Amino acid sequence: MGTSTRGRAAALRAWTGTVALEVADLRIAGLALCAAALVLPMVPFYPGVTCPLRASTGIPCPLCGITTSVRATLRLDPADAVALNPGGLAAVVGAAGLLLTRRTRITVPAAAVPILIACLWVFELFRFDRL
Amino acid sequence: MSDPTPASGPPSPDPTPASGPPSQGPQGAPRHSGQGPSGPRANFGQRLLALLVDALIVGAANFLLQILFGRGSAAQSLSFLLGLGYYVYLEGSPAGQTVGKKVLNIRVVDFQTGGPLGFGKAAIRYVGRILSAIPCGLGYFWMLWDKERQTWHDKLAGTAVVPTADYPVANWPG
Repeated sequence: MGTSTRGRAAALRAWTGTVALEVADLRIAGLALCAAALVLPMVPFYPGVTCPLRASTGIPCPLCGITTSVRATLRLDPADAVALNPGGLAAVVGAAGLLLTRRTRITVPAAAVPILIACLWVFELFRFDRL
Repeated sequence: MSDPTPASGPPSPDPTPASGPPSQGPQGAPRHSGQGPSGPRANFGQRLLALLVDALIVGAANFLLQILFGRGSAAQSLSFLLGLGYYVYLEGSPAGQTVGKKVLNIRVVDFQTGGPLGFGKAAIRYVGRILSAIPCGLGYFWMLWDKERQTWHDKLAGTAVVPTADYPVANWPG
């Protein structure tokens, strides 16, 4: 009983607390995403990034279309980017902002990122008529 | 990654972790109760580059397999076994390092003990890699916002990826 109460309290803290994100890691992830979106289409015979989840089940994942969305953002076409996956536009804007900050860590609510991913997933499920 | 609680003292040649299990401090208490991980962790850049090095090695071997056996089911089965063998043998060995991790000076350790994970957990971790990759690699990106800097396959296998400066390797692969 005590253990399960402690377990529930720990789970609650994990969702209600805050988490520190490393700015250096986020910068690298953002730059890697931008580089992948720009460079991969130049590879000869490049077949495109295929989501394994969508290819095997027909269900899109929260990140489906994100490299195409990043590419649309980088060619200054935000409407196309948002229509594909709003996460791509957010990633580019976020990566640009992170290059300017001097902070080494950003503290965010622990639930923020999982909620954002859930929202992206709902968006993609609508986009592919799965809802 | 700049951890606020770096390991004290120089790295020792002994494979025993210099700074205890990644999940606990020396007395079993969390090293710090803040918002960061409970111990030193490899950063995203190191892990990404290690992944690319390993992908090149396994990819080149798979390319040779396709030349030898074509693209049939036999080649696909051999390709799966090749990846399984590469990751399970090298990560399950005492050093816990694939070639990519060795180049980037990082290693995989058991999250509870800070020691080698063994071949069983390494196999679970390999299966976890597949799960991490299925939703466009979301399981890999998870370490960016996870408090313990763990990917999905780390969580599934109960492992953490740490710098060898804090968790020295005596022999490779051990």
